[in-house]
Amino acid sequence: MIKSVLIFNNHGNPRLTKFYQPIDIATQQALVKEIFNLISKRPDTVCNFLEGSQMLGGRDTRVIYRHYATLYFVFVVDESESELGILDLIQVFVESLDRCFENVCELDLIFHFKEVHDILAEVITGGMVLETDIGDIVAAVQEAGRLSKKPTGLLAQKSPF
Amino acid sequence: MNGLFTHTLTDLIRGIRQNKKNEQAYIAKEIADIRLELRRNDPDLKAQAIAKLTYLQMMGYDMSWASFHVVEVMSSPKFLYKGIGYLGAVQSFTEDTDVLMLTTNLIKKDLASSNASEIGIAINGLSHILTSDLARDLCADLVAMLNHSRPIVRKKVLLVLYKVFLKYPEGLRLSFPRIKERLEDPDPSVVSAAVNVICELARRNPKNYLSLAPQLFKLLTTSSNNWMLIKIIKLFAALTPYEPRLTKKLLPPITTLIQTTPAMSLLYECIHTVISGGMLATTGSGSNVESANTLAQTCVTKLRTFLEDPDQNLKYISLLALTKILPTHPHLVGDHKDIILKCIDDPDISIRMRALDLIVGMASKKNLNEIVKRLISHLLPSNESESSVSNNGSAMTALMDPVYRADIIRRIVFICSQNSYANITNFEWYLAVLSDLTNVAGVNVGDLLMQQFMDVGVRVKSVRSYTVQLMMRLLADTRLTEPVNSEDSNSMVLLAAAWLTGEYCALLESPEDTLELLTQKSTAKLDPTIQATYLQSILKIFAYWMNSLQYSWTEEARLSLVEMVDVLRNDVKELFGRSPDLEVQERASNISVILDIIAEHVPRTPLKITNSISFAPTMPKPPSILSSLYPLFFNQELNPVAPKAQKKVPVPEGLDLESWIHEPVPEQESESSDDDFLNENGSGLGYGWSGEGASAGKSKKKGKKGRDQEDSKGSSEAKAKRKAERKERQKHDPYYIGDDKSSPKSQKKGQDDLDVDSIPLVQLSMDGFEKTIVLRKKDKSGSKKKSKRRERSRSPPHVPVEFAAEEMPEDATLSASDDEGKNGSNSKAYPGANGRGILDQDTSALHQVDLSIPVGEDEHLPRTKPYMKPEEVRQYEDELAQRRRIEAQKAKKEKKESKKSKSSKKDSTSEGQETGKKKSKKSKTKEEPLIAMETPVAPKSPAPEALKIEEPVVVEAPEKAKAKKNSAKTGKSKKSTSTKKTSKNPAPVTFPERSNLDLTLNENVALTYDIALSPASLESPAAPGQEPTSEPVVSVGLKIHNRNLTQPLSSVRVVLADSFDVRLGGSQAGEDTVSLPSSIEPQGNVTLALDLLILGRVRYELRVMGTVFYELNGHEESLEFNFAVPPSTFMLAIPRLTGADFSKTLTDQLEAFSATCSATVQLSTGTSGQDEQFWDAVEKITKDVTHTHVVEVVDGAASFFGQSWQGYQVAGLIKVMKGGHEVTAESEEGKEDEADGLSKTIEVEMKCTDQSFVDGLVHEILEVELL
Repeated sequence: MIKSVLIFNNHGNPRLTKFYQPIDIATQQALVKEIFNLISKRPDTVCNFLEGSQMLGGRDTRVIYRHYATLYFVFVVDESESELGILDLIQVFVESLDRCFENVCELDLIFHFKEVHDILAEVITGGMVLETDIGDIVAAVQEAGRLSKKPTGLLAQKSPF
Repeated sequence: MNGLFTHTLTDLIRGIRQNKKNEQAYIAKEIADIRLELRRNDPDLKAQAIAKLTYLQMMGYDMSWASFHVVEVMSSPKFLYKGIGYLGAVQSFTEDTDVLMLTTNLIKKDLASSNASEIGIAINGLSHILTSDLARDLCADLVAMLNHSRPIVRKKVLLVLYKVFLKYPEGLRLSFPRIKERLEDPDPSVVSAAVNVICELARRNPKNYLSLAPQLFKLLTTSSNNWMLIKIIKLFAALTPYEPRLTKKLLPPITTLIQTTPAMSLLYECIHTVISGGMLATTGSGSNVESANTLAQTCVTKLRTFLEDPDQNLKYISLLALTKILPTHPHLVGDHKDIILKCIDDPDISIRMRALDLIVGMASKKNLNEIVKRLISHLLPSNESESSVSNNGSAMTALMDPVYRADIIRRIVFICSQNSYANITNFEWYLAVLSDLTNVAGVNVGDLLMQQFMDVGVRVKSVRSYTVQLMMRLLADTRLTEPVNSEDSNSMVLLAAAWLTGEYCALLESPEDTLELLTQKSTAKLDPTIQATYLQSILKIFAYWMNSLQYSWTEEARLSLVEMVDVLRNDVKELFGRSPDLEVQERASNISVILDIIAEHVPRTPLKITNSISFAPTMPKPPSILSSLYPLFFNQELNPVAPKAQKKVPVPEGLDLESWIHEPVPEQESESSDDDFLNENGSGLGYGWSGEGASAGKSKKKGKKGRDQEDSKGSSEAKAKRKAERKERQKHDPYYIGDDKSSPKSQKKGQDDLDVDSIPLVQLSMDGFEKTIVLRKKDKSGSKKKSKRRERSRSPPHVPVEFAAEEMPEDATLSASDDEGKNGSNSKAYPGANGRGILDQDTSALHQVDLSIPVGEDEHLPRTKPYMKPEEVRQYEDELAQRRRIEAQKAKKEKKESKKSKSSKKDSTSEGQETGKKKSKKSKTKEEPLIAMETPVAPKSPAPEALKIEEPVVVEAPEKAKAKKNSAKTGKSKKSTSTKKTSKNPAPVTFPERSNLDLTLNENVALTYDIALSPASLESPAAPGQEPTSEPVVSVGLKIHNRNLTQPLSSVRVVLADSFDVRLGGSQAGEDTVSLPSSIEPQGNVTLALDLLILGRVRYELRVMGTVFYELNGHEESLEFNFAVPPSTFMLAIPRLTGADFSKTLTDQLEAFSATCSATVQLSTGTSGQDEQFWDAVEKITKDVTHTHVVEVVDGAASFFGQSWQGYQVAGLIKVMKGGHEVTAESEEGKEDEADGLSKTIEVEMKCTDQSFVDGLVHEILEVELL
């Protein structure tokens, strides 16, 4: 099971927090903070597995992350997930973002808050991997996107940049 | 239209970015705007507001208050808004979110949508917000969708079904065949999802899924989807332990995969599965074992290539896998010790930690020194291995990280101490390591090190002398005694140092020096727990030293003793005498007094050395005081208690911990339990601590054994005797407390005498000690081999290890199971992270599901009932609550009747209670002569049985009658009871009078009292929210009962104790004594009216104290009393509040009701139904205890309201709790079945305008026994 997906930037500002078990908001924030504090100390040359979280607990809880430019993508998983598999999955997720936003950057994630969640939902549902094929993921996102755009809503859809 | 003027999410985000400096203020303003937007009835604005809130939620701002609006947006027909609503729900809802029950139909509708995307967001949303109700209600719909035409829907449904089963396990069995079908789905990604779900399910309960093995095996050999292959392999790893034959079948394809796959993740997963699936540990035919071994070899070789790979990730996971293979194939892992040890020095902390895990498991006698050395090098700042990577700044900072350092130290201690120090051959070395650690730690691990020092010191006899020397060094170490930074210092080890030097002071080189160290100036700053140990050690060492003086009692010795006593007395007083810690202060004054006594007995005049006939001058006889303290500490050697000792203490025959505990007389009980407590404590700590000095002068073991024997022998006799005595007393004295001569107190005294006699006064000579030391030295030099090693290594001298005998109870036998336990602990892993993580989900429900039972025809998934309109729900609930109430009343009536008959039966049998039969009728009359019987004798002892039954009848009978009438009236009406009562004529509620409250008694007088607000005060209550204009006066009727059978009481007067809270008031104002004009006849009662002016704040434990003086037989006697003025006394009888008024009061004065307090009350598990109990409890809490009235009643909950004289308002809610959760109307059906199994608790929540008042009320509730 995937327990949580977190995206935050090099300063620890959250860009996406997703918990697949209900958890109170204070703990959410504390956890993001703790993981950021631990991760930000790690140079890019070391491995992608984080140890030492005091909050998470659980014998087989693993924190697996990747660092892309200004963003950290962090997955908290248990032992039923393959460590290297999750690393690949992060890659799949990021590539899907890249396809949907075309050359994704941090600002895309900031201003397309809901869309990022929608894309993640096409990769993971209820803490389990739904799809790993980037083509299928993007297709599903675009299908829903077309529906969203039908009504000319008040929520500005176009990127401000 | 208004879009132009509103703030979108994009605007919000821009705003936040522009207002970085005052972000919080900006967001606070935004949230205020969002609140306004949500109030408007514009769906566009609402959706936008929720989108903004969801964004803010990510930043840590709570949005649970908007959950209703989230549901509104979820139900929007626009796809975009629906998505926003679902996202808001996903991010903010928890299982407790109450609006979730509104979503059932909404989600049902969305699931039935023709649009796959719409279904998609509904499923994704559902996967987060599932509750057991939603799971049950939607399971059927979801299962039906497994055949949806779009694969994307099918796979999403599969995944969400796993979540559904977690909440609704019954659904799994009913729908599993349909899930199984999906393994054959034409779409590979649907198959993958099915495998995913089955993999998760199989982790919880693998046996259920063994039947799927053929299908899965086919997928394993045919599929090329690495994702799915990984999951299938993981799934098999869970299955093989339950079906070993699978291994044989799996080995060939897995071996092929290991050798051929280019995907590292799959390769690794195969290796991992081979290991964790137990495929290597095959026991069977020769070829199998052989192939398993070759496979193991292949795996480990592959893992080694991972370790050597520059990719750090491969290194990391390789270590993970090696840790798993270690328990079964230690030799294979051991072959790669070199490279693993290298990993400990890796700059990457994650890799280090995993390598450490592995190393800890690899530790053995042979490599322990090397490993520990390596680990310690990590704690040292400059070091060879460090310098190579020191250019890496981050690694360096991590090394200084206290968490990491503490972890390393814990690991060192763990590998050294595991299996009772099995790996340690040289304890001096270990002690030296520990002592090094105290100084290099840099983090506070003092407790751990302290325990280790103590443990080794006590357990390992052969190194005690070395330990004591080492401890001396620690005591003198200024880094410990005067730490610069007290947080990182390990000064806790000083506790061990002090204790060990004290306990084994015979091994000290110079007790005087040690005493000096223990009383140095810096001690005053130490932690009180350490100081307390210091004090104890000072006395021990002093006792030892003083005792040794008697063997050379010269003038010099006398002088040194005089000086020592003076110095110590001074030091102890100065350093510890004024300690704010009670324990330290008490010990200090104890020691001072002991030293004072000794000082008195030491001859102050110089000794005369008399020359006798012989040529040598004879020593003067040493004073006996010298050896006086010695037996206090040194008569019995202290041995460690064997780990299994406590378990081995046989349960005494006839001991039944469940049985009635009040049988023995209190004094005797406490005495024997004291003894037991000591024993238990001793073994619990592992050192036999409490034995130390606790039983003064008594040979610990023998004294105890002797008493035990005596106890067991005479126990039955004594018991019978005591019983007879008690009966006798009870006959003559209805109050049970008596001072007659045969009371157990005097008996106890006798026993004490006996103990004192049995104290063995043993004279221990120094010779014995010297001899043992000499012997030990001989031992040392005797073994040449060892001494050689000593020369070779620079470590401290090495002696053969000799463990102190472990204490076991005499009749304990070592059984096979103990040995097993020992072996089992061999493989005990280093305790890393705790078992349950914060993100773990409770999956225990899935363990219960057994898929081997075929689904019966009558079993099917529940179909949801159509939703009722709100009015219908309301009506339904009202009717339900009403029905229950009537039933409860009926049951109560029956119960009461049975009680009545019971009590009257009892009355006729009990002595001296002729009036008993009248009681139920006359219960409210004040002249009830037996009223005193309600007074419990002592708070802890139970009331005698006859009284227990009587009491409730006396108090409740009139109340019940009233309640019955009420219910009969309301039973006919269609509305709920409460609304009926309140709507028509709002008559003030009446409360039962508070009378005959228990108070106090002696052999001649018994006092009870009733208490109420005085009529004068009642006329001028303060309005809600207003300050009262005067102090309240309470009228207390103090009823004085003359218990003497023959003599009258005369000159009775009551004197109130001085108090800031209470003074005599009303007509008695200004006086301090109230006298009774007449005397009280034998067996008569007189009620004395007291008007008490309450000056203090009404609160919990507002008390009135005073004394009743009276003359009996011409002697003046007195009886003190002390009773509480409960806050509920001040509650007024106000007109009933309607539900609407109630909520209006609460919302209008939201801020005034700032004080809250709540209580959880356990209902006794009686035979009556839960509802009846609940209604009884509600009635009792409101009417009887807090003097409030019920406002509204819904099922399983009731609200109440009241007002006090001071103008305080009290509003409250009583809820039934079951297993910590509120019982909602939905779970009604299950209630009856669960009722007997579960303990029932109710929660009372109160809001009030005054905190101390509401606290007092809650205490009243807690003090009342609810049924």
